Amino acid sequence: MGKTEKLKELFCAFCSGSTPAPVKTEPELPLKEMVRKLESFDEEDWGLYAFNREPLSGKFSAGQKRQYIRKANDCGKEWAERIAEEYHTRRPGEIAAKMGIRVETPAVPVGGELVLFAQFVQPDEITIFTDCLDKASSMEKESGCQLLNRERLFEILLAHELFHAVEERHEQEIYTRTEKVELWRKPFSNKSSIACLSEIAAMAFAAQLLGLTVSPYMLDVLLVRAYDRNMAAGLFEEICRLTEEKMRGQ
Amino acid sequence: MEYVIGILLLITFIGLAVYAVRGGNLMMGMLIMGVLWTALPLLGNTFATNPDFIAAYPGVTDISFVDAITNVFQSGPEGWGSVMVNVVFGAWFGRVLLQTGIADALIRKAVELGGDKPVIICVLLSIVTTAIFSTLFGAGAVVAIGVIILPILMSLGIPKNLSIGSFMLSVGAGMYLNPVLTGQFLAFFLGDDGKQLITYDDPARLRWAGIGLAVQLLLVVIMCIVSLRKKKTVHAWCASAARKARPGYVPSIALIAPVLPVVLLVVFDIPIILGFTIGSFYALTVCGKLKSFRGACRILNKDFYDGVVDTAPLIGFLLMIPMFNKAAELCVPYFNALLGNVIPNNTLVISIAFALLAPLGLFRGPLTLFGCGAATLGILKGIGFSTPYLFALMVIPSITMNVSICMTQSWIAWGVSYAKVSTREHLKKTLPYAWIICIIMQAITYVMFG
Repeated sequence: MGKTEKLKELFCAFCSGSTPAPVKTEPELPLKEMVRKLESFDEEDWGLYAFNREPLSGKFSAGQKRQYIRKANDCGKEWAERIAEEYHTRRPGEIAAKMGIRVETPAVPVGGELVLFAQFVQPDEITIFTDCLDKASSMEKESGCQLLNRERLFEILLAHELFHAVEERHEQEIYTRTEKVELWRKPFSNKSSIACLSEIAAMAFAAQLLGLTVSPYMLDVLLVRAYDRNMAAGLFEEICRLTEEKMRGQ
Repeated sequence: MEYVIGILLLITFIGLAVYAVRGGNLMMGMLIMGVLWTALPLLGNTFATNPDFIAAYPGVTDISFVDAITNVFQSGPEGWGSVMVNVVFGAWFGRVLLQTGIADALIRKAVELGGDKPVIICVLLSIVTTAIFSTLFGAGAVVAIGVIILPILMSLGIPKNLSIGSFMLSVGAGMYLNPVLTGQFLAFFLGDDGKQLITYDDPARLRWAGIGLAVQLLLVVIMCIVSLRKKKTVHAWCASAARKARPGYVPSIALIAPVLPVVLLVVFDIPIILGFTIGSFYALTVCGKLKSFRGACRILNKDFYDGVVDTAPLIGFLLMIPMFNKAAELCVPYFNALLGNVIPNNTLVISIAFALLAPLGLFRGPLTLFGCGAATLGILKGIGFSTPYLFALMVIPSITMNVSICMTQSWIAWGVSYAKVSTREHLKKTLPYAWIICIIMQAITYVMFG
């Protein structure tokens, strides 16, 4: 090591922030095995996963959740057919153009505890973050998962966000917006929609529009894996745990 | 000679500011400054010839070498022992609130009250966050609460920069009353005998802290209302870390636990460490975590361990600050010689200057006590302002600018990177409100103590 490097190292040692904490590593799960397992989960399993992230989750019984999940999935599928019929195409890019929605494709997001894939900003802007497309598509061969094909993945993300745009334009009639739950006791009233229903329906919308046989929800795990394997393993365990609890009838 | 040393001290002060702004390790920065600010005045004392100057500061300009280094490097850190102990007990209490699920339950209750109305949710969660951090302290606690609150805010379509801004400013609002953080500020105000010149339960100071909390929280609420007025919500497809299974049933009576230590201290004069202990055991008992003696020992050990780990990075920094503080006392004659005629001794002028220059509390600048502000305080102390006035004057930018919005604060850096918001976006959203808070609070400080 040269004098300059030594000085640089010494300078960095004095200037940098605190020493990073050692990262705990989980045992690696083979990707193919993970994909096979994820493909085996049905709509209800993924719905429970969505409800596990729902802030109002504590207000519903298991039976109510199952009912909501079924209706949200039906809503997504129904609107996929209606939109395909209305715009005479099943290609999300064409639908977005016909709906007058701008599609931005910056690379932006990097890793961390929250990985962003795409977003819809009211009233007419969808952003697909290509960084995650690039990272995830590199796993296509290894995983054997068709959803990770770059073009396919772009369409899935776009279709998902398109559903949110559809929701905005049909908020008076679409199930995910009209379904409300009463939060306050009488005589007071505060009716609220259930945020996760919108996500469940958006996944069903994308699957129906693009003719997918598996839930796009599995991308939550796979796309995160491209950034943080430990975090992906945690998400995988979460969905497995929820499915096991469902089997045990909890 | 005193002018030469004064100029050299000023150069090192600017050097620290540049070093801090560039993200340098502050623990090392404080240590280096402690050494420089001990060496330079000792050098000046050796060569000072002006008899008036020497006579004006007895005990400082004639201090012996051994006394000086003992004061700075031994008595300084030792004197902060009490602050450290409070930090550790506070961190333990924080861990208890997290492990029992009380913090999580409080947040969920607020969400269940607000539903899908972004403004109501934002306001309710800001109030809950402020209440929690009026007692809790530490990056570990902020991160643990943040990973619950931030995904909720974002799932409701609240823009990321507003989610982060409102959460972090709410944490800062609670800090006005937080006994652990206040303890760190109070340690800057010790008499020659090592006794505190101002205490946590001083009625006027407590009233001022309560007003500070209310003003900052009110501005957070205004920020939420103004920002969400245009209703340009965002629906993001994102994945966050796996949700752990809930820690178990949390009864409603457990929800008062976060504010228990502060209430016990303010109303019943119960010392804060005992307050933390009572609060912790109350939380563990009502949540059914103390079913056997062995289990209780295990929980106590684990929570204490986790709490201490949470505070470990902070403790290193906190132990270097008193060296810098003590060294700053040695520098007072030289700063006074150089700046004594430049800095006004009128509280109105000082208050206006602090209000207008509040952003200098960012990036460990000269208005935050967790940066170069320690030296600014040293200079202002030399001018002879009252302790309550100086305390409030310095604490406002330290809390509102540094602790609430500055990227050099560990938990803010975490939050901004968690939500994928740029520093510019974050400051653009929060700085105007933080500045208004500082202006209002400086005006209140002038009226109360000026």
